[in-house]
Amino acid sequence: MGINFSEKLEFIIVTIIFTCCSLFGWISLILNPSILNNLFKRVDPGAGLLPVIILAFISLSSLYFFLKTINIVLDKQNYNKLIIYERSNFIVIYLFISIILYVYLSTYLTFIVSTSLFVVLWLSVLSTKKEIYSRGFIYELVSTFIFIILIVYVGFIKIMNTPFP
Amino acid sequence: MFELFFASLQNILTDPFLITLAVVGVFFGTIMGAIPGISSTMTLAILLPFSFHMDPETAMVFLMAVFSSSVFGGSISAILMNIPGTPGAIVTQLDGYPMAKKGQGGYALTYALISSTVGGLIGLLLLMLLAPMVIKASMNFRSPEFAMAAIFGLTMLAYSSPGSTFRGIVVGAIGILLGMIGFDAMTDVLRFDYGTVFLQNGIHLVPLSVGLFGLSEIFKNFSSIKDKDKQLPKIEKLIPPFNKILSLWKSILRGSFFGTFIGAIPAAGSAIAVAIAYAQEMKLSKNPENFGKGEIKGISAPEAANNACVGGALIPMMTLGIPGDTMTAILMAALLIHGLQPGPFLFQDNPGFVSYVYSSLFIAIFFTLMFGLIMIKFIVKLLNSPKKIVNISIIVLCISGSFAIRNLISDVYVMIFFGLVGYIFSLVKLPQAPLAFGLILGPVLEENLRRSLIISRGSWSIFLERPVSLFLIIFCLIILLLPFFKKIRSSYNTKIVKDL
Repeated sequence: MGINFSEKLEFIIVTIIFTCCSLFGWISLILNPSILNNLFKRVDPGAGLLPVIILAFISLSSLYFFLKTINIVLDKQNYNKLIIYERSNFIVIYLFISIILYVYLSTYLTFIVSTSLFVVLWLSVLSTKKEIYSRGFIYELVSTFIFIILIVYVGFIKIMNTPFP
Repeated sequence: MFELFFASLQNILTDPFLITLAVVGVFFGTIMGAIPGISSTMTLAILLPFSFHMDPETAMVFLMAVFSSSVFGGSISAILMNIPGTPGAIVTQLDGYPMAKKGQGGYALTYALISSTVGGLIGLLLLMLLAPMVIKASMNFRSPEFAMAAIFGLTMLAYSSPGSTFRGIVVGAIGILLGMIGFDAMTDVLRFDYGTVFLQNGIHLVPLSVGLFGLSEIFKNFSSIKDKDKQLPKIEKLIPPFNKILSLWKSILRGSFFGTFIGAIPAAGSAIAVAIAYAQEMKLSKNPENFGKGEIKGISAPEAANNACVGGALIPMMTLGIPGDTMTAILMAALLIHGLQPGPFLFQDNPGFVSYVYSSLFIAIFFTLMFGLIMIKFIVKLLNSPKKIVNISIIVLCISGSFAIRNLISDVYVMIFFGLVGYIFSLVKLPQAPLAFGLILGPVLEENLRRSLIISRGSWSIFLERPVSLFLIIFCLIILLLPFFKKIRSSYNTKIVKDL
C-alpha cells in the first residue's frame, strides 16, 4: 500500500513543480541576458531560442494548472482528505535521508564502511526482533555482503578501476 | 550487411571474454527482469555503468544480453507469481498463471521461452531487412525533418504514457530544459548554470536514468517492503510435448510481426504490442473461452510479440536516432557515451559497429534460450530470496554505478535527486519517461531547429515546405488534439443519454 494523494493535492504539487521549473529558467535568463543576444536576428537565432520557447510553454502550462487547481480547491463539494497515507510510508522518507547520509559519510568513513553501516542498518530495520536474533539474519547479512562485495569489488574496483572514496 | 553480421558473430563466438560477458549479461538480465518491482528498463539503467570502460562493440555484447534477457525475465514472475516483471509481460500472466496453478508452470515457462526466442529472432531479421530501407529514405532527411522527428518522438511518448498526454508533453519540455543546462554545443554559451561548476558540466543522462527508473522504483518497493514475500511454486516438468510446441507456429509468427511493427513505432512500447497480439489471437481462436484459463496460445503470441519488440524498437533508434521505448532510450544513451550518434550516418560511417549490434542481439537471444532451459529451476530458487536483500543491494548498485560514470560524488546526488523526482512524479501521476526522452532528444531538436532557421534565414515556413516535416507536424497535431476530440465526443454522448 503506497501513499495516495487526493486530486486537490495532486494538482497543487503538479502546479508547484511546473512553476518551479519555469522560474528556474526565467531567473537564469534574467541573470544572464547575453544568451538572448541573437534571438531576433535573421542569422543563427542563438542559444536563447529554444530555452525561450520551452520556458514560455512550461509557464503557460503552469498557469493552466494553477487555474485548474484554484477551480478544484474552491469546489465546495471536494472535501477529500489531502493525503491518505499509512504509517509504514514514512519508511520512504527515512530511506531517502539514510541514502543522503550514506553518500555524505562515504567521503569521510570510506565507501566500504558506510556501505556496511547502511546494509546492517536497513537489514535490521526491515527485520522483526525475532528475526534479528535468529541464525537466518546472519545468513542474510553474509549473503548480502558477499553479493555487494562481489559486484562492487570485482565489477567496479577491479574491472572498471573506480576510485571509490 | 549479412556478411558483416556473420563476421562479427564469428568474432564474438571465438572470443572467450565476449562470451563470458554475454553469459553474465544474460544471467543478471534474466534474474533482475524476473524480480517483481525491477523492470527491464531499471535493469538496463543499473547495469549500464558497467559498460563505460568497455569499447563500444564489447559494451553492445553486454547491454544487448541484458536488454534481451530481461524482457524474458519479466515473464517468469508473470507466470509463476501473477506479477509481471516488465510491462510487456502483463498479458502473459493471464494464461501463464492459471497454468502454474494447475502445476504446469514449467511447461508455461518453456512455451514462453521458445516463443520469446522465435519472436526475438524474427524481430532481429526484420530489423536487419527494414533498417536499410529506413536509412535509404532518411538519407533525404535534412535538419527540418530531424527536428520534427524529435518532436514526433516526444509527442508519441507523451501520448502513450499512462495518464494525461498534456502532462507528458510538459514533462518532456522540462526534460529538454534539463538537457540545455551547461554549455551550448553550437556557441559555447553557458545556460542555466547559476555560476556553479556543478551545473556547467550539465546533467548526465545516466545518473538521471538510474535515479528515475532505478531508485524511484526502490522507493516505491519500500512502501510495501514489510509485506510477506510471495513464495514461488516448485517447477516439476519443463519440456512440453513437441507436437504442442509445433502447433504454436502460427500464433508465434503473428505475434512476432505485431511486435516488430508496433515496436518500431516510436514510444508505442511492448505493452501495446502484447495486448494487440493477445486480442488478435483470441479473435482468431476457435475456443476463445479458453483464454484466461491457461491457453498456451495466450502465452506464445504475446511472448513472441514482446521479444520481437526489441528488434522493432531498435529500428527508429538506430536509423533515425529516436528511441522506440525507454529501454532503447537507455541504449541510445550508451551509444552517445561511447561517442556514437545513432542515425543514418551511423550505418554509413560505422557499418562494423551496426553489425556488432545485430550479432550481439542474436547471441543474447540464443543464450537466453540456453540459460532459460538449463537454469530455470535455479532462477526460481533465487527468486525466493527475501526482497529486502534485493532492494538494499540495488540501492548500493545505483550509488556505485552513478559514481563510476565520471568518479564524481555530485553525480550520485543527481541520481538521488532524480530518484526522489521519479517517486514524486509517480505519486502525482506525472509520467517519468518523457523527462529522459526530453534530455536525449533536446539537443537533437535544438541543433536541427537552429540549423533549419539558419538555412531559411529565420523563416519558420521551412518546416511547412518540406513534405516529411509537414506530415510529421500534422501527425503530431492529430495526436495532441486526439484527447480533446475524445473528451468532446464523450461529453456529447453523455448529453444525448441525458436528453433521452
